[in-house]
Amino acid sequence: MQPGSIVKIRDLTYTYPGYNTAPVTALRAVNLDIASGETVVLTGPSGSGKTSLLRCINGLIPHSDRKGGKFSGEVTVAGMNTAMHSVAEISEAVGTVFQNPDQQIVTTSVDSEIAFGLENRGVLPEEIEVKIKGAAELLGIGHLLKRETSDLSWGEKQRVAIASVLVMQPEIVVMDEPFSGLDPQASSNLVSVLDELNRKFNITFIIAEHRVGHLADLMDRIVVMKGGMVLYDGPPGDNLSAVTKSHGVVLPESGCRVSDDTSLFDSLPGTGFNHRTPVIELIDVGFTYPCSLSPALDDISLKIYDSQITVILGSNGSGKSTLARHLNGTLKPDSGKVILFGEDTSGRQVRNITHLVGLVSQHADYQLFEENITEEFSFGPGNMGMPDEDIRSRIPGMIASFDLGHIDPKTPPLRLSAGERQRVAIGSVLMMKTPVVVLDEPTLGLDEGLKRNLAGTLKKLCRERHSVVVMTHDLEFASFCADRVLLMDSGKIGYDSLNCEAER
Amino acid sequence: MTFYTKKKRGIVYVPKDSIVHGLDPRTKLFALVVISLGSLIANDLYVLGIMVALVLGSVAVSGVLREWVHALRILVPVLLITIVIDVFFTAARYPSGGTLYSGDIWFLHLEATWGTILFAASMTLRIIAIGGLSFLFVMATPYDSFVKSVTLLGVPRIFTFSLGYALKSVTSLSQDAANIVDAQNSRGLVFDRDLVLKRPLKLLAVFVPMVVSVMSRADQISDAMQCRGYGLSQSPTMYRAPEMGRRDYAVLTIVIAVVAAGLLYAYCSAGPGF
Repeated sequence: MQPGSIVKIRDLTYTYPGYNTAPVTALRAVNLDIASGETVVLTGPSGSGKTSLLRCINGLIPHSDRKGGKFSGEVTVAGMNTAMHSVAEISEAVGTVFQNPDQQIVTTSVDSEIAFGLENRGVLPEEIEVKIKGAAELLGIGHLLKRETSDLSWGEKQRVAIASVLVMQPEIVVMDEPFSGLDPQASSNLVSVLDELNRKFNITFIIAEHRVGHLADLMDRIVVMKGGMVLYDGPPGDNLSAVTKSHGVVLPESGCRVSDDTSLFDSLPGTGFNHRTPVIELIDVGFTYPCSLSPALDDISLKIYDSQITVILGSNGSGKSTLARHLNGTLKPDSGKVILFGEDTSGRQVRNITHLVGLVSQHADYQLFEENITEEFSFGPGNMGMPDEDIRSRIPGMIASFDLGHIDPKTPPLRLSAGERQRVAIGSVLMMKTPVVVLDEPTLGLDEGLKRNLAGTLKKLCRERHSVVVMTHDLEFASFCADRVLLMDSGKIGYDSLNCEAER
Repeated sequence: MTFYTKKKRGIVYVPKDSIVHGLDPRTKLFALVVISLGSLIANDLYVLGIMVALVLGSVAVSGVLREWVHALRILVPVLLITIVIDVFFTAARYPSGGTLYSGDIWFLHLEATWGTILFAASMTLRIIAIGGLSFLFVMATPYDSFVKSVTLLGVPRIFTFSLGYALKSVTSLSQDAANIVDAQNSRGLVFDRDLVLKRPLKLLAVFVPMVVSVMSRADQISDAMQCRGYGLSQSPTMYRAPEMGRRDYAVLTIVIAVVAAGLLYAYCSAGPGF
């Protein structure tokens, strides 16, 4: 081990077993040394092996992975050979923050959640009390300690998840895309917290992330991966883009940090849509969830036009998803009207709206169920009564659009990687050829290149006179594709680039 | 998160700062068992009335009356079926008081007596006492503290933790189910009678994602628990372990005294088989 190295990886190769599919080699002869106190960012396209590498560092590979996986090489973490120690033993040195805080929270109240790891270690209750207070103060969540975990926002849950790991005082913290569910402001806050923790406690952070621009000030090193191999390992210098591009990996040029920074969209093309008939019109739409004190949608009035990509930006909990569900009729407004192609949707059933408005939900796994990709693509159009020949003729184009050509169309969608599943989910809705397509956070799990591909596909749809509405907090993606940008905050539209254009 | 709704559905914990909420879960569990046993043993309407009064009194001071009444609606079909069966089909066992109604509908012979009406009333009170108290227990007891209490009673942690997590998951699974139905609705799948009767295979569109969601949730939680040292110590500690206080002992004494007195009264007034 190099002097000061806290993580040493030698010739690490890992192959996932295949079930009715060929085994997939996720890591190929990886060698890596990480020094104590370093902040290392792992990046690379979807399926490049970032998550697998993290799972090797925290010991989930080889201990807790699917049976039949092939592990070779050696991973030493804080002096422990991960193959020789259990995940629980390794957890004394390595804390893990998973991508989705919802799926790592095990108890119902915030304080008991933070206490969970300490209880497992046999720490005395009085000591736990002190440590909880310390961790809560560090993460700024003291006011949440008595709350129920199910009532927290995504950003709050993420902080609780990090506190519950940090309270165990690990030497190393591995984080799997911790920024993917956070809006730019929450991301910026989290970067500050991690930076402070690194400086104060010399914690080694290993962060897998697609978007790296906003981490520039935080990282000491960047490791670029593709196809399970390390392509670049070094400081994030000026030549980084050139190095990675030469290996076919495109990295974002910069990060977007401020949620209300609309200057990015100042150069939106003049569209002159104001005088046209909207495909969807919302008139004073209000909606409040039962048991909620504040409205999720607060008197929203909005017109959405065809041949245009409308991007609705907003932080977690701003009301974007609620608005998306109003556009396709799965939610009806408490007050006001949603007019779809000139008709009020209040009296119409969802079945009569879905052939006009296709909605891609945030979680691909809520949609996918068919035996193979072809069937998955056929499901929606089949329900709408599209002829089989039309469906079959459209599938190859859709597969190409979403860069799925390298996968056998007979592969079960549920066997694909997260990014691939996301693309199949989006494609399966676009196959329905609805005049309006609404996408709710479509870029989760997509890397830079795939985001650009998706933006291209959506632009093509617009050229065919479809209307596309994208709900996202991904400013980078918005800058790729937006014709018009709206900002949502607390259930209201705070900014509309179309109005600004009209004023200009 | 997509499709997240803050709506509290069904019988779930309702946070309040009441005497009932503040009791040790072991006290509440013991009271539930004692009152349920008392209700099952006694047939006397007065005694059952006292059991129901105990439950109603507890609900009144718990601050969850509205939610409890709402939850109790789940019992309405069970109560209706019980009343109909007990009133019209138990005359052979409870013939006392003479026949009030006798008739045939299709191949069924219906007969009601005072005895069957009293029996139906006692069954109704019994169901309200046991069901209502069970609902109150769930509504006034946080999962975490329930799990800790059961662990303190000596049940292995692996069982109590699994039980607690299963209870916690009820809410998230119902949210998942709603999200999946919405997602498939958006892909043109119409959930109506025709779907069930004529195209039942299409229900896989909900079933498969639901199974995947459950399995992946279990997988991820298991990983997350291991990564936080679950199983590391042979003697894990317990943060904020529930403690029995004076109030708990007082409640236990009252519950035992009332139930015992009720059963004694029933025994004395009716003899064995009361």
